[in-house]
Amino acid sequence: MTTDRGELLHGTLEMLILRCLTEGPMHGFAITERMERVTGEVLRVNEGSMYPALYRMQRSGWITSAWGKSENNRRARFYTLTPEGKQQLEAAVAKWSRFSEAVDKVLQPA
Amino acid sequence: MARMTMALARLCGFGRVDQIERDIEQGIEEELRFHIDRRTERNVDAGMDPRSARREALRRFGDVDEIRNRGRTILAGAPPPRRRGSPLDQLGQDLGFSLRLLRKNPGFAAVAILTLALGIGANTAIFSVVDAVLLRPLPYFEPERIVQVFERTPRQVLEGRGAFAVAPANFLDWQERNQVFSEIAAVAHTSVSLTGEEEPARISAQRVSAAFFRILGAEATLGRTFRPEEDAVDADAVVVISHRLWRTVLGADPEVLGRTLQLNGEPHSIVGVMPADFSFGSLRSWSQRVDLWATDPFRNDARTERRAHRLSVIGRLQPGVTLEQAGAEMDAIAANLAQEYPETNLTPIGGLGALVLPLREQLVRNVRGSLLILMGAAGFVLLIACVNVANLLLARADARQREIAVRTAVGAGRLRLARQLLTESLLLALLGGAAGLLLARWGVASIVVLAPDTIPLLEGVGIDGRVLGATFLTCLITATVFGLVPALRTARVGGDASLWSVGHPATGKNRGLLGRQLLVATQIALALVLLIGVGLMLATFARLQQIPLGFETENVYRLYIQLPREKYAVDSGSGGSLPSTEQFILWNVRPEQTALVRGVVERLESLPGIEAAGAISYLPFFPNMWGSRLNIEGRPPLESGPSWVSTNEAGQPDHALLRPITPGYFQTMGIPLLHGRTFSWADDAAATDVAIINEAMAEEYWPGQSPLGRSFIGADGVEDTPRPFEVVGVVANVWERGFGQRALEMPGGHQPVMYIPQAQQSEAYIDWQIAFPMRVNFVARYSGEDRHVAAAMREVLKELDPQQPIASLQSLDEYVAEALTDRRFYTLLIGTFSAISLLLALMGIYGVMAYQVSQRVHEIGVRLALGAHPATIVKMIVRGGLAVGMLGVTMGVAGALALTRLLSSWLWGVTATDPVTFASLSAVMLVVALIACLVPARRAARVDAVISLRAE
Repeated sequence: MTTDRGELLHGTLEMLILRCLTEGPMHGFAITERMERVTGEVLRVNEGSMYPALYRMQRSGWITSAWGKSENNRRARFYTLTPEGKQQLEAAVAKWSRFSEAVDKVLQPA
Repeated sequence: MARMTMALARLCGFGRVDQIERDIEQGIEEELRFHIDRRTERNVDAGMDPRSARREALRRFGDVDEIRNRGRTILAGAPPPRRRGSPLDQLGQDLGFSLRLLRKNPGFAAVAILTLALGIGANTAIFSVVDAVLLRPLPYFEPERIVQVFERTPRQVLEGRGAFAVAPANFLDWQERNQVFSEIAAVAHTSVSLTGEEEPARISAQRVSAAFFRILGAEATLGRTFRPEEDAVDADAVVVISHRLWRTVLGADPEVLGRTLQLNGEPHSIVGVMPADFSFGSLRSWSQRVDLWATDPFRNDARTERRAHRLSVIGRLQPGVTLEQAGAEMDAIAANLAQEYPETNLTPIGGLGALVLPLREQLVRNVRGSLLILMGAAGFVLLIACVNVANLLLARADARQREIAVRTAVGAGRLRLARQLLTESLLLALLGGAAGLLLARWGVASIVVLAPDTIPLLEGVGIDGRVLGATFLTCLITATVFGLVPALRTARVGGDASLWSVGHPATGKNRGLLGRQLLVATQIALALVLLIGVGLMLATFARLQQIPLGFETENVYRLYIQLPREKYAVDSGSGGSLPSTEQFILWNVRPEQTALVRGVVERLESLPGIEAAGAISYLPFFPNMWGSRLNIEGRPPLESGPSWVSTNEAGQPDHALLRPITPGYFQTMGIPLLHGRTFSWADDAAATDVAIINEAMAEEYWPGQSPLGRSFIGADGVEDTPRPFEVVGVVANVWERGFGQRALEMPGGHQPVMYIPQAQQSEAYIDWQIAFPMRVNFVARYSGEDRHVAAAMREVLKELDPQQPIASLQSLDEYVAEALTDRRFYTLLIGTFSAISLLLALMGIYGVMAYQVSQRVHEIGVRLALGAHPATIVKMIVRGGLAVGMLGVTMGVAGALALTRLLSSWLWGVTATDPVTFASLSAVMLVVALIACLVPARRAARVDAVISLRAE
């Protein structure tokens, strides 16, 4: 699921980030860790490439950000899912499911 | 959101923009560092040494610089500033800086943008008209290959004059012999009465050869166009109709094909409906849309006729054949025809020729000059606007000398400075252009409403991509024109000025004041040229209004109808020995026509509120010069031509315009009877033929004698059948020729006119086009409310002939006003341009004078402190302004002397160099300059010496 440059399929990274944020406000590094834990590092991401994605989604109004204190008491930017972002996620998940179902059917003919 | 904040911040001021940009950058920096630090910590926790832990963290993170830049782009919506800016970055910086500057000087920005909007708007509006009329291809297939072919006099034709319509037999020979056209078609414009549908309607129609639609490359949207076999004499009567007629009269009936229409009382079956976007106009007056096409342009088997020049001819050039080749071949064919048919095609001065003109060329021939003049006038407005803005920029550049000096000192190159200033100009021009487009939209809409019918192709006018492109180009050129001089000058100043020497005008010279004064003088000159132009046009207007019309236009209504020949006239076959360039199929008037006209007049007279009523064939101003040659006793006979015609000493045949009227006409029109009597209904076909003549005719043919009771010979039908008329009355002259330029330029005063009783008319008028119906104008003088009259006239006609459509119903005032539509339109446009330029020039003078005062505050303060009287100061400033004004006026008069002759086709009664107009408007211009100086001058006089010195 990675491209040559180690980037996920377009839109997928956004979907994954949004998914993580459903569990509550998080800073960028926490999102990375969460994604690693869940996917078991199957999805290797260039960690930095997550930030442009975060900024884009922030501009689209899917997430908001605010400065806060991290677990080790440093200043960090925390991202929060907006209702709009939530809708976006639902739409993306539905679309993804249809896509992966179709792929499954092709790969495992009944 | 961030991007919007940024844009807003950019507009609000430089400082806050910087702040926000800094915040964004710091935020990203901190966030990324936090991430990498945490990853490093995790790696250390996992047992790596700190250095490799950090290296691993950076590797996993990717390209930090790239991500930082991308982040900044996304959040700030702008590329990051780089140390060495690319041209694009610099443009961005220049633009941003320019925007902030405009924002800081809203007054300056508003004035400059509005000024440019007026200039660019005027040009865009006129250009969109010029584009639609003169430039855009006609909406037909390969329109550049469509031509119109005329016959022409043996003399060389200038500007299309001397070209005339084509005789049927000549057309048929052309069609057979030519190798240069893929096809040619004859077109006869006409109008037909459509009856049998809900309301009788008068429809503008054309009878055409079958090739007509193929030449245009037009297909029917429903059914078909004409087939070649339908050119045959005995073919069925079929018609193709316009989309508009189909929609409005036939209710967009999809089953319309094969349906029968009653046209002039004859059945015609519909074979096709043209698409909505197909339109064709009368080739004589393009704005008259055609709604119906029928076959057989020759009518009445006139295929052997070579005298009746009544057909328009269009053709499509063969591929590879040029206009010149086509013209040469057609001339050769015409020369052969002149040999073969010397009786009809040869005149004493040579054989008739042929003239091939591109269709568009022939349609716009008469308006091209006028439109180009308008374009020129709009160009003047733009130039004046440019000068104004250049002046504003120059003034501001001076105010910015310190800023420029600072920027130079910190290393900005002159080129970079000049570019910055040009960017500002460009920005102004584009903003002005955008505002100008709004003005232009409104302007174009007004033009379409006000434009006279004589401007063809206006239906296509609008602001489209082409016009937008042209406007954009105008903006670029404009920006260069008004921006370049200030930019170059400022850059130079920036280069050699030192930080502490600028801003102290009292110690330096008034840098560039001379240049600015020259600009203003130019502006005054340009505005004066326009002003004189419009002054001459208004003078023409005044002269036209002073023309005694000879009839009273108030309280008279006019009902105009065109009687179908088929119903009201009898075809009596071709006429006899007529000179070769006139026409002829003859129609005898049926008693029905006389009865109808008399019936309508008598009923109108009997109505309450109507004081008098009458009828005439052609009202004054109608562009029809048809008349009769005469034999006046005792004058020499004509040498070549009908032997009964007499001539003057110069051998010119005696002639009078001929107008059949009914009793009551003179009374209704308020045309005074000078001698004798008017007509009565007793002057009918059975009575002696009588005539009432106008004063001009009496003076011309019976000078110093009473014409009453005298007899002369004339011919109201064909010259084969002249008959004597007895003069029973003399009426005052009427201004027959109207206000058209050509008519006005005709030599001589009033033409002789003979009026005959309509009931004695032996034949109807013979027209240049057979297809023209017979015209009757009813007039009624009323007291009381005019709308009752209009309704009553309509009602009376309907009672007597329910089938007869009305061509026009209006007051005589409106009728006369229509004759001035052209002039009013052009005068209004030039007048508007000239008003705008006067205003702009006023602003220009004011601006420079005010600037001058502000720059001389110190000097003025010193003078006042030394005891100068404030009045002296006012005089000093005003004298300076007047000097500029005088220079401008001198230049303007010179320019106007050179240019106003271009207007000569719009002028009448004044010469293009009319000294009164020139002198009075120059004076007006000087007064305007004076007024513009007064406010700054008074301000100067109020300068407080102490304050001005302290400002030092």
